[in-house]
Amino acid sequence: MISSRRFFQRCLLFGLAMLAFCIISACWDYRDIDRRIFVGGVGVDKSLQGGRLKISFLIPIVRAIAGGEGGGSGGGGGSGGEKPVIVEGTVADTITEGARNLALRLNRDLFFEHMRIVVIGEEVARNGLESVINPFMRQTEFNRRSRIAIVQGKAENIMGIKTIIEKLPSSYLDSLYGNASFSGKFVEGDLGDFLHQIHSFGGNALMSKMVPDTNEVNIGGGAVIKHYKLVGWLSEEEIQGINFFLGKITGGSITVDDPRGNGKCTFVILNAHRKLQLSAEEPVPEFELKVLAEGNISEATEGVSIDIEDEEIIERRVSEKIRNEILKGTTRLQDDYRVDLLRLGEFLHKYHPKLWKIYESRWEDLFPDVKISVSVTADIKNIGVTK
Amino acid sequence: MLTNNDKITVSQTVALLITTMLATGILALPRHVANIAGSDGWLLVIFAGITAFASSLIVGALVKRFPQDTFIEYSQKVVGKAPGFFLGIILILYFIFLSAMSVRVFSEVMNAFMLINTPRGFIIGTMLITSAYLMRHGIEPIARTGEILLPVLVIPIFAMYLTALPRADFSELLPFLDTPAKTLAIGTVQTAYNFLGFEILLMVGPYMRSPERVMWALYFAMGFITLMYLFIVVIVFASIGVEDTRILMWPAMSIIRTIMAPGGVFERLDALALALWTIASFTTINGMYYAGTLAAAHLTGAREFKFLVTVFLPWVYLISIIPTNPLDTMRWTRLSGMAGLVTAVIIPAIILATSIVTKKGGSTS
Amino acid sequence: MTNVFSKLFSGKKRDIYFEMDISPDKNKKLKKNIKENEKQIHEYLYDCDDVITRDFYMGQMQKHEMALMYIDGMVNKNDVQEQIMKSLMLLCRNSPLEYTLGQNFFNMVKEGLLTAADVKEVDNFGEVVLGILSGDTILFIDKFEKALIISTRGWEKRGVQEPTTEAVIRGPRDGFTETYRVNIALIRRRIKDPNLKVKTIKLGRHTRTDVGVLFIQGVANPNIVDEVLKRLNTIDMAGVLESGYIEQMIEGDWLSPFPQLRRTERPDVVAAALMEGNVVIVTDNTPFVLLCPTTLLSLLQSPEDYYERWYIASMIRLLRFTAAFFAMTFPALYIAMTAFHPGMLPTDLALSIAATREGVPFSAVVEALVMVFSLEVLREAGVRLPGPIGQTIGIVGGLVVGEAAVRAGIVSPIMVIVVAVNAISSFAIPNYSLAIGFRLLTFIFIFLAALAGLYGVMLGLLWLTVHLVSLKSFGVHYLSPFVSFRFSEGKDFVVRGPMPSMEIRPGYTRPEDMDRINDRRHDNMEKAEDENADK
Repeated sequence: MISSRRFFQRCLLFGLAMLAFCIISACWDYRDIDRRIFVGGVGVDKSLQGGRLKISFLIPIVRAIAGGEGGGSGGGGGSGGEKPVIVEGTVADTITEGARNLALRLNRDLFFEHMRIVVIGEEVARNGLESVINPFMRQTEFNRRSRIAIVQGKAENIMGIKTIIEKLPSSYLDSLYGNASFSGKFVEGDLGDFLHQIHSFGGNALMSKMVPDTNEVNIGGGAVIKHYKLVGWLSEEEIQGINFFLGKITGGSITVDDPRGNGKCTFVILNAHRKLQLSAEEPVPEFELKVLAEGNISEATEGVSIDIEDEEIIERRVSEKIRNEILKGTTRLQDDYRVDLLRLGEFLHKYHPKLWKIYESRWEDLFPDVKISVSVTADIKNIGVTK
Repeated sequence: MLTNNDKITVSQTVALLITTMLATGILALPRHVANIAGSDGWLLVIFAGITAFASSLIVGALVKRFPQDTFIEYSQKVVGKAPGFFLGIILILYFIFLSAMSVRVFSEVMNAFMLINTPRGFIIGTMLITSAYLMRHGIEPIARTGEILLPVLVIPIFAMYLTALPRADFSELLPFLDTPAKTLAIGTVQTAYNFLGFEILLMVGPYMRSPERVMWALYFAMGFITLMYLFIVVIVFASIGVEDTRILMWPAMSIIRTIMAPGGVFERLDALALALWTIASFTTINGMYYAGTLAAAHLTGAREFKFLVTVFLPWVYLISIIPTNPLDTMRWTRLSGMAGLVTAVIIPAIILATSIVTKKGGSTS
Repeated sequence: MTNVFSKLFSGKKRDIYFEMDISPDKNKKLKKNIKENEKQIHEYLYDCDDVITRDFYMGQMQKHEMALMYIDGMVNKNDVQEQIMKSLMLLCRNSPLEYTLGQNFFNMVKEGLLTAADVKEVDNFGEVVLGILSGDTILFIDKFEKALIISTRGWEKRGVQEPTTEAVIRGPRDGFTETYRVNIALIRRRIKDPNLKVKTIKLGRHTRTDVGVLFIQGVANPNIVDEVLKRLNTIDMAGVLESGYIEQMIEGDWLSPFPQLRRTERPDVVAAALMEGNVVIVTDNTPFVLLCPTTLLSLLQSPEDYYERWYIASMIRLLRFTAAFFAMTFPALYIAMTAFHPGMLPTDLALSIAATREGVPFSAVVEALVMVFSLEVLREAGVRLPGPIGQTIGIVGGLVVGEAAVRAGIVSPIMVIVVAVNAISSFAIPNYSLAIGFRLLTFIFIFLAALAGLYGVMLGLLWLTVHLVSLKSFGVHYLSPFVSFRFSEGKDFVVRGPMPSMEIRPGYTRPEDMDRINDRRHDNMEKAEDENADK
């Protein structure tokens, strides 16, 4: 057992060491939570001065968010009290530099771990994305789960929207992506998915597209990135087709003419399965896609009661429509953009590695000529509680 | 001559082995195997596990052959006084080097993910002091600490990576066997160093309560570690893809940043994960550091084991701050892999072979 | 530098108590002459005005001179009058008693005349004086070198009441009192086993406190019993006023914040511990009984864990474990999360915490320290104040001060919640000493968290683990059964298994007799089945 004298000596020394330590260290990484700015979103645009970037940061004002007791005041137009967010813009060469520029103007530290969305302006995207996406990869502060989208127009416009339903535009934009089970007409994915595509397919990626309005944003459709550059857009129907092709459909609806021919009938997709097969290897690979879509009839024109024959007709029409959408999407990618966002190359690489070795080097030229045959089966599970 | 009369049970040995082997290096392992063999990388983990297991059997055989002695004693018995002494010094240097590297890698991860501005010296220093504090209590508390920390460590790690499953796409593991056999073979050797840690048995062997069951401990520990590494590599591949894995410095850590805790209690688990890796790293340093000081105590015949713990502390620290940046650390880690090949495989193999030929040691004694 | 240290800490052992040792020698024998004996006693006990001497003669002839000595207030006067004086002076007045009986006269008094129940013969001053001081009555008889100690102890004492510190919903309501014999009797009433041994020693040079060591022979590990006795016998101190004195003198590691002996006021807990192979130390003048060896697990147990059904008991036990963890780390975790890793918090929570901290002048660390500190003060104030006020001060302090501080913008409301959870968690720990230990660690963890966030907390936990792993209580691992876990013991662990399945006693004490419960519920059924089969 240690003698009491030595013990007290040790205690004193330890105490002094701790004290000295606390004074010297000044707590390197310690930053009180109210000293941070939780950046909700980042927008990247091309600045008017040539070659540089105009970066806007979506900054929530926590006082205004938590202070809003009684949600009614916020609902009535939103301009009553303090604004819940501000947008700070700066011109810089890189995103990090932009963040540092803001330090000259803002008294708190920018903190990106709660960033929900990155939006990139059309112009920047057309010039190339390499320089823009790198920090999201390299720095641990950026969240791989945040969303990323290309804006038709200026990213600033997205940052500046006044949302009505949500207080924070960033959480509004983020939760828009949660609607995949209601609609298949947009590209669902996050920064992680995007980086995965970019790195796996040599700079090609299918990205979300955003169209700003004053109070809301439309994320229907998609953006086509080829070699890190934006080459064009895809319409909502084309995206739904491509989503079917990629097996990413978890919801959505297909509306067709009803069997009697005097109205419309809506088929709500519950889930969809797909199967891709290689049907021929030479001279160009041929693929066969089988899609099985299951869903309910949620609406049919008044007065129409559905019986067995009708059901078959509807199923046929729905599958025909889905097939058209898929073909629309694939043709667009094959003929117009000539970029393999159907992941056929990946499919070959994974399941037919030997064949892939042959085609790999000239796949880009080959892809537009690849033949894809599509067959779709629609299956009605339920027709609701009216006959 | 045992500096401490404490003995450890077989299950404590298993815990000690597993916790020593399970180090922060695993965070970089997926990148390592992805760079060598792409989507076949997970195969490398299995092959490397088997290779490491085979070489651990040599160590096990030595423990069984000399159940009363540590490597220091039997190497002098087998190859003579002077060469044995030399081998002992190599062993000490190796353990000191390895503990320095493992604490360094830990501090790299810490600095990258959690404490960006905190000086590296602080992280390394506190870690080493904590380890030295435990070390002073001797082998039995070390083994018991391992025993307690093992479930605390392993169960949350499994649980955490399991939450990545819903996002996982297992087709990322394809194409299967697309890598040339030669690459696989070379890669296996290059990967095997991640399994280092079993060689502490060279020193700890005689402290086992029943050294004859050392093989059982090795089967269990090596099997467990291989499965655990395989699990992590597969999950990493499946969740972020092989190509991304190649780019990320610590892919196994990066994927934790994509996980949201079930129920949304935590936005992210990375700080929690790093807290767990703190345990993993702590136990690894314990094993290596202890083996090193023990070897030194046996070699010099020092009675005062605690004194040596303190003596080595500044040296481990100084070695660990040699690399200048993460890339440099990577290079040094590879060097430690080479050192491991020599110390954990070749030297024990030579000793074992010589002892069999000269018929020294063995179960008769 | 070293000079300063040596001056500060050169605690020279002051032997002042040794010089004051007044206890009479046991070797000093009684004299034949009663007057001399009386004089000697008065020499020992001079200036002790509460010592009463009563000289009297007995027998018809009033020849036999006798003397009674006792301390006023410590004896039951009724006993002295009825059982001693009356029997000697009245009842045998007419009996023919002769001096000629010689030696037999003494025995006659002892065996034939005294009606008191507990009579002991002594022949030296040491025991006589101790007897007087302990509340016994001494009977001197002239011409004999012997005296009789008659047990007449009786003083104002508290009755058996419900223990206040360990209340249970289900379980016996009796608690120990300040009287040694009553306490032993409470235990004996529960264990009617000749193997329950009681070894009494006296500790404290002034206090001469009765300290009993209880154990069940054949269950308790003899090594532990020996160790306890050995350590008790090394105690040499002025006085033992409470079992806490003994606890601090015999614990193995006095640097540890964790109690290494368990204390209880409940006889049922003692009985259970005895049957688990523990050694029990009962101290006179205090209701608190010590149990050893102690494990962390046993400190987190309440007797109700065994009285309630096992689902409930297990759940409550799990709750207590969580509470223990939070009692230690909750403010530290809050600081680590908000100041170092706000990325871990859900976005909405992070934003609202940030909003509540707007305008708070102090950093979270200072805030936490201030709040935890003031909570400790409130708790301490509540203990000191008389019953009903003490309870109110907790509520008033908690609510009013907290509310006012939040209103004034000195602390953020979330910090009040954090500190409240921390404090409430510590109250959920059944053992007060352990709870205080955890509260103490709270401060250290706050510092560590302020230094390096979760990594600091983790470091603290690692240090704690290392400390606990190396801590032993009377040779038993403090963390057992967490270390060297065996499944058969696992039934009484974090979860408490169903009662019939707990077939063996817990292994941490290495009890000699492992059988605890034999599950015979099915014996009769099987017999009946056999009989049916026979028919």
